Amino acid sequence: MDDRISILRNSSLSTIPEICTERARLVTESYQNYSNEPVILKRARTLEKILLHMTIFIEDEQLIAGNLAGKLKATPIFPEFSVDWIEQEMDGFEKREGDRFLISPGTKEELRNLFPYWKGKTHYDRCEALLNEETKKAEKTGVIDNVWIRQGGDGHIIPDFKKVIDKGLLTIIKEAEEQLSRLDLTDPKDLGKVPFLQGVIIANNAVIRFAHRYAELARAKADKERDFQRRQELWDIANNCLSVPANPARNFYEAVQSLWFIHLVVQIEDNGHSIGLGRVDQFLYPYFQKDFANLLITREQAVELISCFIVKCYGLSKIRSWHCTQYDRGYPTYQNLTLGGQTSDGLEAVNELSYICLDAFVKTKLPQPAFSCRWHKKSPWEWRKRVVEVVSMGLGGPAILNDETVAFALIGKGMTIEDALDYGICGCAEPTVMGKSGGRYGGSYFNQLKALEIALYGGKDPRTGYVLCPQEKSLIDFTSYEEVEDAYKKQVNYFMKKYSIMENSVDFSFEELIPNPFLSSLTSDCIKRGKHIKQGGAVYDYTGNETSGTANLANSLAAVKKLVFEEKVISGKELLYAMETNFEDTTTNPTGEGIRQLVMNKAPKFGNDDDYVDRIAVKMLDYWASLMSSYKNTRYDRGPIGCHFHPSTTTVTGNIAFGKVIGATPDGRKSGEPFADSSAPFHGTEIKGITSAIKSVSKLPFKKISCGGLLNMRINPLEVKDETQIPRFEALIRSYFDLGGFQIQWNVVSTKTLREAQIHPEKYKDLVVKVAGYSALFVTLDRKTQDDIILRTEHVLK
Amino acid sequence: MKGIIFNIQRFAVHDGPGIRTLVFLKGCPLHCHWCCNPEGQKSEIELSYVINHCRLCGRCEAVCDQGAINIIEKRVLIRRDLCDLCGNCVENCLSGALKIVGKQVDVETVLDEVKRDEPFYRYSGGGLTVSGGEPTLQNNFLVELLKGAHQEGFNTAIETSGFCKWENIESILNIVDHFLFDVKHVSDEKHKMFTGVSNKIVLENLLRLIHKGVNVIVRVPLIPSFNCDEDDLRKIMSFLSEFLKKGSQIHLLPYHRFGLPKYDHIGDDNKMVLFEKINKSHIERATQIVNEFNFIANVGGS
Repeated sequence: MDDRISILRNSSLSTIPEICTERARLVTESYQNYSNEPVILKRARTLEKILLHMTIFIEDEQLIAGNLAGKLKATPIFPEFSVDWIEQEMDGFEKREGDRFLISPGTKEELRNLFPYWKGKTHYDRCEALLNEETKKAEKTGVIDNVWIRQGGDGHIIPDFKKVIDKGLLTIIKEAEEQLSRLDLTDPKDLGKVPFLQGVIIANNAVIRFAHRYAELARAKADKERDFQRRQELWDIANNCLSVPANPARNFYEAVQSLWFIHLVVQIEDNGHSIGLGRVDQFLYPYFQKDFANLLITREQAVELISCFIVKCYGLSKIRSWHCTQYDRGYPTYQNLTLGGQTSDGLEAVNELSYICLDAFVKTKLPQPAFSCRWHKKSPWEWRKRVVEVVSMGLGGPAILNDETVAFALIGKGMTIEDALDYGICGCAEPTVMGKSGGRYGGSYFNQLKALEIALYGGKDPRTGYVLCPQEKSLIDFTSYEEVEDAYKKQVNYFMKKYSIMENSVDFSFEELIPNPFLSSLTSDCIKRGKHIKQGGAVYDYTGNETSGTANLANSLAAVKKLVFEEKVISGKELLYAMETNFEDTTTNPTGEGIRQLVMNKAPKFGNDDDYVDRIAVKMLDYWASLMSSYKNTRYDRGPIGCHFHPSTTTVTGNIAFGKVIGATPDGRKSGEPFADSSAPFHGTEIKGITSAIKSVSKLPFKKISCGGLLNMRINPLEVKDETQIPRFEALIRSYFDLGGFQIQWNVVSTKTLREAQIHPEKYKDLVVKVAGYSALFVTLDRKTQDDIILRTEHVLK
Repeated sequence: MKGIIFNIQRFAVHDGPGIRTLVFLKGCPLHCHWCCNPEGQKSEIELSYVINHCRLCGRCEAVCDQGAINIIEKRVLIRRDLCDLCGNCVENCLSGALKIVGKQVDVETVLDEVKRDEPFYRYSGGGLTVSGGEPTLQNNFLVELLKGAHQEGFNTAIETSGFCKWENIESILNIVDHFLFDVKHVSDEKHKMFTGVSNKIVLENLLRLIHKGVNVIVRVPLIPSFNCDEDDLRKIMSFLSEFLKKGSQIHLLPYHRFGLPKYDHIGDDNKMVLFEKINKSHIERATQIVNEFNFIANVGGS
């Protein structure tokens, strides 16, 4: 059994992703054929066309069937979203310093032939038309960025896996048919619902037929198979695919296969990443329990099956433009699987399957999917201990979430207590409810530190020269610290407006051009309302966000407050000049470097449990979070609960990309350098140890950060490998949660190991690290991201 | 009540149970040749200079009224005989290379800092550990500090060389949950040679302490060429086995050189003694000997 998983794992690990054109071709043909159809039907017909004609295969040794593109780990192309960047960049796909993709000359030629059809018709083109010059300029400053959501799909959702597994797609088709039959077609409102409901039926039928193709393939393979055991396995696969996802799953194995088909097809329909897997240990548990009680499955077989599932997830890949790759290093697909926590009625949710899933995580040691383990005040010691044990193995996970804070944040956004307690994670640390939350949890990036830089320069971006929101004063003539804060807030307000215009423009384009009939059919109450998600079909709907730079923002403001206005050891003019000259002018007194030393050493830094600077961090993040939450999305007043933006502190690798556009800052950070990731202190500034760092972070207003308050920490493995340290490590995390923490994730790896992996990548092929909310293979990352991870303060237990 | 401390270290996990805060009291009657906290030896505050942080900007030299600072050969030279510890240079040092080691503080200030990690003590069973220097040297301060911590409900521990009047130990008997008690050597002669003081009073205090039935953990620093030989260790264990219960934990603290640069920082580099580096076999042998005497060896402490 170990052999099976290691064979599957190794073949996946050693395969470099490549570009597959099949989908692009099928989509183009379909759009040409169905050009007269309403867009939602065109989308359904397109999905049908892909599912019926794409190449399918079943990997040797694999127990689960279903592939994304023509080959293992190949990535399909989604021309309906954008083609320009592919056309411009495809010659370089193979030469990238990180996130490489193979592409053959034939593939390039085929793509070049397909692209002319798409010129002017893509989602990207529509967004370009919708965004005005000023908004584009605002984006060019680097305070905001939403290119990724213009070039690709949104994702960030957990489809209703439970419903499909328990009831089958035929039930969903029936619901849509019943809804159709109830419509009064003389009522234009009802008439407008017809295409969507028809689309749901077409899409769901197509998925059933897709599964049947695998049943046939498995049977054909079984006929030729000489190995008795494998023949038996192929027959099982054939039987599974004949039955699910059309019908309710009859056993654990079918339930896992059904889950996989849905997870897969959602990512064929649309290329949005961060499709959450939801609380698999909850919705799969009844099947496991029944089979286990009837001696139909052993614990080991369950671990093996989940391991097979994990390897399948790892095999999914997505290509992004080079611009977007800066923000998403290491081939992330942001699949996330949630375990433990409590049930929607507040009872303990941890069960045997929770542990089985963790065992499979340990066995497969793969960066995708990410695992998120929920803890709450009453979580059993056994669960907490096992989670910490696995964390201490240094496999890049799992992340740990605090139910008390997460549920509170969701209730604050309008969720019922039951739904809030039933959250699962999608993307990095975004809590959402399976089958009920639509909207778009992944949103644009917001760069707080850049907004401050512009405010200090009097409203002018020193890099582009743009003056978008003019100010009367700059750091040279501010007369009090309050004026600095006010100027910053003014800039944040300005850019937040542009941000909302950008986000909503993107959603209007999605609504008009790329509705998802299949995904919508797996989200309540789309069928009931006869609306797809982007029209307001979901029960809950929020537009997410990734914000960054809190630590450096607070450190910069604290330095200005203390040194310029309170102690007056340096004037605003001198400081601004030092920033302009990147702390490098040696002719000033003190020298540029002297001023840098001053701001670094004589002003307090976030991450040391120092209220002076921590209060600034809290105040600024709170201001921004409240501001963001006040903006509406395009579904407002159209059905769902919520329909506002909601904030997160997830940066992904945006801290590196955004750092490049910011000059030197008053905290001593030099021009172009990355800033702090997630909610964490800036590397090297948290000098009082890990408890102080954790206490500073825990002061942040996480109960308002409903889209995820992520915290990345790094600890030396020597410190946790010892069994006696597990309870201390556990206590540390529990204390963080008691203090109000939202989520915490650890890289248990030493600086030494990471440096060695840079020198001898061949020896560390499977070294998994947490980059942001996701994990990646360290050696596949580009040098800058690797360095950023190394620079993150390595905590030791003293 | 005021005392002089030279550091507060949060998140300590090798000096008593759970997650702890270590408070270092300044001043020590011993001068162990392997001492890794030389800045804890003198009772008075000191000026420390870390050359690695220094940018040689010259501001310290310019502001020193005593003429105690000169920049010579790319480093700051401190005439400690002239320095009156006024702190002007420290205030003007932008890079943080110059610092005053040691601070006179009152008990409340220390307790406030200790309380900051209260959430971490709660689940881990941790608390306050007072270290040094030799903490009993500032006995009144120590008593108040431990009392205050106990009143907060924190677990308390002290790390002591045991070299003090019995009355000092007696005064804290009821407010210390764990005594981490150093036994460096049983040979008085060697003890004197390497620490500067006799071990008589140390061993006597240990016996009395154990007799009181309080929670004592003996800690043995493993110092090559001082007490790492089989014979030395056997003597220590054999001495302990006469009155320490079977199954007691013995902490073995292997010699390390992390404290070496600090001698230079406080201008005490003439006192620095380099011992041979400790290796695995030293530690394994020591562990084995401890086990032979039916004690449980814990390397590094916990």
